[in-house]
Amino acid sequence: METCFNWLRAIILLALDAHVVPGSLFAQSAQPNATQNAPARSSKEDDDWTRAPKILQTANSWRTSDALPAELRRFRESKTKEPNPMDSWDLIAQVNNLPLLAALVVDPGADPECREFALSQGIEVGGPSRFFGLLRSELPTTAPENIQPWIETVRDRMARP
Amino acid sequence: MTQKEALAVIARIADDLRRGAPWPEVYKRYSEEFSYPQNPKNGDSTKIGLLGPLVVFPDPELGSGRIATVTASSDGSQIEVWKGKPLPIRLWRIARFDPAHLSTLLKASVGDVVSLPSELNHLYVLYQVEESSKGDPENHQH
Repeated sequence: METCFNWLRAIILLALDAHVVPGSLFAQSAQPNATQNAPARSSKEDDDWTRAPKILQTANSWRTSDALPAELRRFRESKTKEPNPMDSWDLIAQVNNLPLLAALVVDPGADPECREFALSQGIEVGGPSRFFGLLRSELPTTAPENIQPWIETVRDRMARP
Repeated sequence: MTQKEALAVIARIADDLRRGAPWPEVYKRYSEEFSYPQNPKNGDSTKIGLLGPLVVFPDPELGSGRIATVTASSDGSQIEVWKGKPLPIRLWRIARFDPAHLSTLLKASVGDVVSLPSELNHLYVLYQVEESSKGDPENHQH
């Protein structure tokens, strides 16, 4: 009998006649925004490029008893099309700490976009089975009203009937 | 690379993977074999495009838009733009995925090597399945 899955993780490779930087990741180019050559950075942007690695170091060594890094909980998106390492999408896309990502998915104090980014990143890094297994133990049976619809959405996505 | 050449390369890569060769080793070998001459502007580059891992799943909004390459009116350069309905965040990572491939992939098993033509993106795409899951019916809301 044929089996049909609801989630599938694969590596993708294309053969095409185009210049592609070896090792560049699908995930990093998937945000549907066109990017162009970046102009010179301001000092504030330089600060962002200095801060981001420190936040990621904290995030990737985070333990369950620690507070979630505030920068991961507040949604931030640059107005320009140039990449900014402190933008929530770019920042969370570099977090590989699955317990932190699971905690961020169900954090009532995090912005909705950050929770969504964390769910997407957790599935990507850990794979659906592992991350959903971790997330299952984090999902509250009763949640604050402001997050309850989101918790139900997460449960539905995990089920994917 | 012509269509015939692309198909031949994909067949060779698929054979290596089916024999159990590790993906990074296979990619390194073929990306070097099909590399472009070194260019100070672009650095090392290759005709074999590695687009990395992705997680696919059925979603009603999958396929509601696509990335298209267009010529910029300002300077004539080629840029990528999104055409169609904006994607929800949950689909951002698979914005380049051809939805026509979904049903075939969801029937594949771990370790399978699947080669599919993409009319949408004018490419041949080679996938290797790393994990498959039926979801978690216990968590479905009734």
